[in-house]
Amino acid sequence: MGGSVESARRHLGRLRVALTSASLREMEQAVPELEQAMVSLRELEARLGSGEAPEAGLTLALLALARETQLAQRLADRGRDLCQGRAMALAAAAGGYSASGKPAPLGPVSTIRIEG
Amino acid sequence: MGGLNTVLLNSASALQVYDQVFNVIENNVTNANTPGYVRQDQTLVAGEFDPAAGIYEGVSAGPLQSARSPYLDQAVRNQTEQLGSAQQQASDLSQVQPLFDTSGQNGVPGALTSFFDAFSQLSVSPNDQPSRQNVITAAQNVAQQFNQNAAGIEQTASNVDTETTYTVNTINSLATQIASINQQIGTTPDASQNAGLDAQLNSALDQLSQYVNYTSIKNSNGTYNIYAGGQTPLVLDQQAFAISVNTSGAQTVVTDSNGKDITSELQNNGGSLGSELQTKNVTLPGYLSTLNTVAQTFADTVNQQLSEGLDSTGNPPTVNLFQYNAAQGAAFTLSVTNITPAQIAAASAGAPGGNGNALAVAAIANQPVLNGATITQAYGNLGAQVGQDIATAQQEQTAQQSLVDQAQQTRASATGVSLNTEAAELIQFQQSYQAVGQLVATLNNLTQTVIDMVQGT
Repeated sequence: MGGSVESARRHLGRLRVALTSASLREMEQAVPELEQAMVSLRELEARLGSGEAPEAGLTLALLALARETQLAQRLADRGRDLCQGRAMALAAAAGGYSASGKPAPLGPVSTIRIEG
Repeated sequence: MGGLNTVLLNSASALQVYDQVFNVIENNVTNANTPGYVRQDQTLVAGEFDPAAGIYEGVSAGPLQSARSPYLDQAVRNQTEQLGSAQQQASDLSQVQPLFDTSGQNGVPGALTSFFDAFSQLSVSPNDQPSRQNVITAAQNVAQQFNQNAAGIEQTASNVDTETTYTVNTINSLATQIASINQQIGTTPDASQNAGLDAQLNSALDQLSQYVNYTSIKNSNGTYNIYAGGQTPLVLDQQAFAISVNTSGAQTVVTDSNGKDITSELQNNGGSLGSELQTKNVTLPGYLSTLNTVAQTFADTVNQQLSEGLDSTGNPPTVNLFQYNAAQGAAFTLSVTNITPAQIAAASAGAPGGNGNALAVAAIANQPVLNGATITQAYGNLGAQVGQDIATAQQEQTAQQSLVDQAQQTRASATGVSLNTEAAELIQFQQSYQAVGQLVATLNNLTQTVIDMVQGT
């Protein structure tokens, strides 16, 4: 049982590193880590549900996991808020403000060039 | 697995990288309109990651990557050189155009028509004093028109001299600026990562291309050597070598810092300087030479015909109608002698008091006396040549402007900063954080559920 929690914490650790990596690719690659952490917890949930007795120290391990999950949650929320704020500022710099006072919608970022 | 402290420590280091990435984005946005600035990208280097060994190094910041493309820069500068040349040529030649009347009513063509008409009038009353005076007045008008044409071309040449001096000063100023930037590059640690210096340098190189044809060679330390016309050093590392211009002679001469004549390397070789040298040393002298030939042929032909006739006293004339100084230019010096109305040889030899010679002079108007063309046609051909040269220069200017625009757009799309793109990149980050946050929330709920199950047992 403790192995499942350790496994979840390990996957969560990788996710948190990815969250601070400033690389979209790394963040995307870390999502499966999160899924793996859930799989580990689901296994634990199933074993507990089948009446298996919890190991000693499992509660502490789970509480540690919960604390780390909350940290990861906060990291993701802060990252989201930071990017949102900066994106709005940039959008305003790029296209000005709309009548409602919000930054104007972004234009298309892709370009098509025909050569020949 | 590594402990929480290890993860937090590495997270803190990664957050610094994260901040650095956003600083780069912010710098891109701030400099979106800075001349010469190209987009910078922060590269990331993956750290070692081995949870079993407790290694969570995350990522570190790699070198800044500049989007600068030497090929695209060169394409812009090549086209700018040609545009600078075409603009200058169109501008200089347009000063000459008003000198050549295209209606045939004014200027030299109008004066020639009046002159030959005056002789026609004289043939009607060959002994009429006012008609004889009219011939002299018309001749003075022709001379004056040729004088004005020549003076106009000389004035244009003088204007080109002033522009050439300004151009050379600008080139020297830009060369000094580039040498100064080279010095900063040479003394700044990690100068290759300094987007500001890079922008200043390339902005100066862009500007220089408008004025002169040059070759730039990047040194291993990031500085540039600049060679005007591909051969003459303008900038070598941290030192600028000023070129000079001498406009005091008939031909404008540009010399390098050692006094060597480099005019031929630059003339008609791109940039406004190339065009100015070509206009001053070749194009305008060509126009003036043709104008002199027309003026001289006209004066000689009329003088010759008059010399074959008889004046009002029945004697061959002792004074020519026109005089000029060929060495100083027939068009510029053409004038009427102190001939009197009575000395105009209106009569043909053997027929004193008649109008034969006046008719003969009037007939010169339709005689192909200059390379198969009449005097008026020869002058018209010169005017047409000027018009054609201006039209060509203007067409080239339009075409070059389009090519410069295209080259600049291509460069901007490849290396410039798009505020939309930068903002969109942030939104992608935002969405990723949001998606991950939702998954983490689910994990959190699941963890809580398991904790409740354990505590409930």
